[in-house]
Amino acid sequence: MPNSPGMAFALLLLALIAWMALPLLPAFMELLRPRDAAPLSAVGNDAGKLTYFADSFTKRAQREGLLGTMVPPRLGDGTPVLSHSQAAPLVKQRKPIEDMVVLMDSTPLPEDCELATEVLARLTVRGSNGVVYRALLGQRDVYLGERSTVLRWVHAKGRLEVANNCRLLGRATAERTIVLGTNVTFERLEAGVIRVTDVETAEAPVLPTGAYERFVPSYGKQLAPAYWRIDGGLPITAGSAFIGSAIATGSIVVNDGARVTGSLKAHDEIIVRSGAVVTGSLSARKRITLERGARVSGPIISEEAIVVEAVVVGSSTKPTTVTAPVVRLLPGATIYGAVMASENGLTVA
Amino acid sequence: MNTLVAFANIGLWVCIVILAIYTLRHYFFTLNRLFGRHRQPFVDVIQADWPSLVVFVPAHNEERVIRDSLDALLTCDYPEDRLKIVPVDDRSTDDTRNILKEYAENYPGRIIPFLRDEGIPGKAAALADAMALHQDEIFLVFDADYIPGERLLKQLVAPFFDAEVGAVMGRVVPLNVGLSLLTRLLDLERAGGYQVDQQARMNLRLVPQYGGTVGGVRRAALEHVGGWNVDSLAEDTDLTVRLVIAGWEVVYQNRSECYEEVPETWESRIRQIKRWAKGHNQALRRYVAALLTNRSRLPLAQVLDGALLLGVFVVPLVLAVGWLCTIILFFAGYPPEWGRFTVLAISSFNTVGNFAAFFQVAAASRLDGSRERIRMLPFLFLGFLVSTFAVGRASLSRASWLRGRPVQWQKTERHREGRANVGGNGGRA
Repeated sequence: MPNSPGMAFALLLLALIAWMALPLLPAFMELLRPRDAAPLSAVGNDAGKLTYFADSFTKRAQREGLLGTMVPPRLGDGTPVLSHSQAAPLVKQRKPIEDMVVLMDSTPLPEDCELATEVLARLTVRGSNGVVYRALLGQRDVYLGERSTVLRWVHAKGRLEVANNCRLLGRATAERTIVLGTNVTFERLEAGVIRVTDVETAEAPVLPTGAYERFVPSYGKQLAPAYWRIDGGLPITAGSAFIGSAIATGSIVVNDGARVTGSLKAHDEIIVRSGAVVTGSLSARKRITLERGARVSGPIISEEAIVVEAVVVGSSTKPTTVTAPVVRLLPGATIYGAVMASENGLTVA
Repeated sequence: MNTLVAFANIGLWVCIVILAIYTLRHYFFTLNRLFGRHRQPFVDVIQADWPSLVVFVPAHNEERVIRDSLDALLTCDYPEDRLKIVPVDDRSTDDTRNILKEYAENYPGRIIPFLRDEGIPGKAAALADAMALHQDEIFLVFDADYIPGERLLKQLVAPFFDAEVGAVMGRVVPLNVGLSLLTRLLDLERAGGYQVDQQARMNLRLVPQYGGTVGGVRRAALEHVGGWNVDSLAEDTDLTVRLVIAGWEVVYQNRSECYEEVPETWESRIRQIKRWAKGHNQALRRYVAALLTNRSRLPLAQVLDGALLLGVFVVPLVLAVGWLCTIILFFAGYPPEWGRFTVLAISSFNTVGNFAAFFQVAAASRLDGSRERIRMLPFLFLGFLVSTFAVGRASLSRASWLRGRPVQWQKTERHREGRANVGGNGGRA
């Protein structure tokens, strides 16, 4: 026990300092022995590249010899590999198949089976109904049967055809074409061209601007040459041509057969009516509706929802993106490029 | 004596109200980021007919870092026929100019240096001269120590497909984090500033700030607001406010991240923050009235957020005035009006208000999924203390408030030795 007031005070002071420094202890430990001092690695390599996982898996398959004549029984990390072919088909199991599966030919998998690891298809895949894939890489075309589900990603090096009532969670990509049936839910799609059913889409004719009556907004403020800001709504007259870009604080309606050479932004909704053509982009805080027979060249961005009827978006030489939390694609919708539905994408009849 | 006490009373209450507003703003933004909807409408635009783009790299004595920046820009996936890289050298006296000439020879048509020896010195003036030579749709700006990732240019250009967007800002991520206590504190501050503050403004449709680098502007919008203010000390804040007043939208892209080198010495950091403070205060003096009188065209929330953004570097002065008023009242022997309520307000601020910024940084670390670095949080007090005094001094300087000061290059010292080891993807793991 301290026997002098000075000593007692010093001890009290030390105790106080120690008490006050206690919350700083983790900070000093982190400073002296850093455990988290590397630059943030917040952006993954997969950001913005939908085929990232498919590309990685392709490299792995090549490295592990899965594309050779003899498929190894195990991968380098010990993962067992199962082969499925006409000669040795997989039998239906109640439990999910946990091993990696290589589809040697086009023999359909058992219906309603669940594949919990990646699947590599060396030839065209003819998927049975109700199959659940974690991830599927098709070296050629991929046909997913009705009620199939993809949990992470599917990539076809040729054409990806998805039957009715399927669920595509994550990424669905194809190097050539994606054809979706009806009542297919999706999140992110990318291909040379994405169609909903094989219904032929009537493209709106694109005539020279001289063939139209010129439309100039009669109100609003001109921000720059051919750049308007409109307080309120902007209906673009049917059959007219609007050359320039416009921002409207209300809704924008591009009426039948009108042509817009520029981009449109609405604080409310945008409707592009039948036969109308927009060569730039569309952006809206609320819903964007593209009615049957319309045509849009640039990206379509909504903060709420996009409805694409039998409409052509983008072109084979100038692919583009349709992006919104909610996307509805109707039969005949044809999109060159990508469709991104961050919350809910669905093809409807 | 009574007059002094009355003024001190009023002054104290004005200070309390201002500080309370900033405190509430901190908490509101942080809670929005933790529980609100993340607004990023352009992040998924991955395919498009990309517009013609010029990337400007302002440089003044940047021989240590500019190679890394140019190499990274050259590996970006933006279509080559739509992209020009224009390093803007303004009176460098080191080897920067020779490096740029070497790159121009190796990449003809892709790297087009703009070499400048005359005119008003400074980043804004250099950019104004360089941009006048290009008629492309979109201009992006990267400081010479920034190392963009492969897909960053497309990510930053994507918002311009929205016709209303006048400027875009990406996220700055420190690269030299682990070098010292200062770099670790700046890493935390940056996280709070971008992950919480900027993104909350984006979520709430307020005024995200174009930060002068890792961002860009639409040429039509820039011309509409009269181009760069060449005598501005903070051309980024200056441009942000003018765009907002003119009705253009400024967009923040949280996932468009770019590595930077943060100051490694306290002297360098103090110079940097003093420059920001002077520039901000200059913009406050110039535009706050125009912003507040623009109520009919802008949403009230944007007007208020814009005004608070402009006034952010005056807060240390407000704090100092508050302390002064309290001391005057104490020594005058007069309890402030509504004495108990005032004491409650001050003590509430001390217990809750002071921690608003800490809460913001902690939330940012959580959102970044980087929870270990949160242990450094108590040391932020040191960083805030230094910043408060530096900003306070800068806010009292002539340059903060007076017109007509000549502008000079006030650049942050570079410390990088050798080439940055960040790999082809901007160092992302």
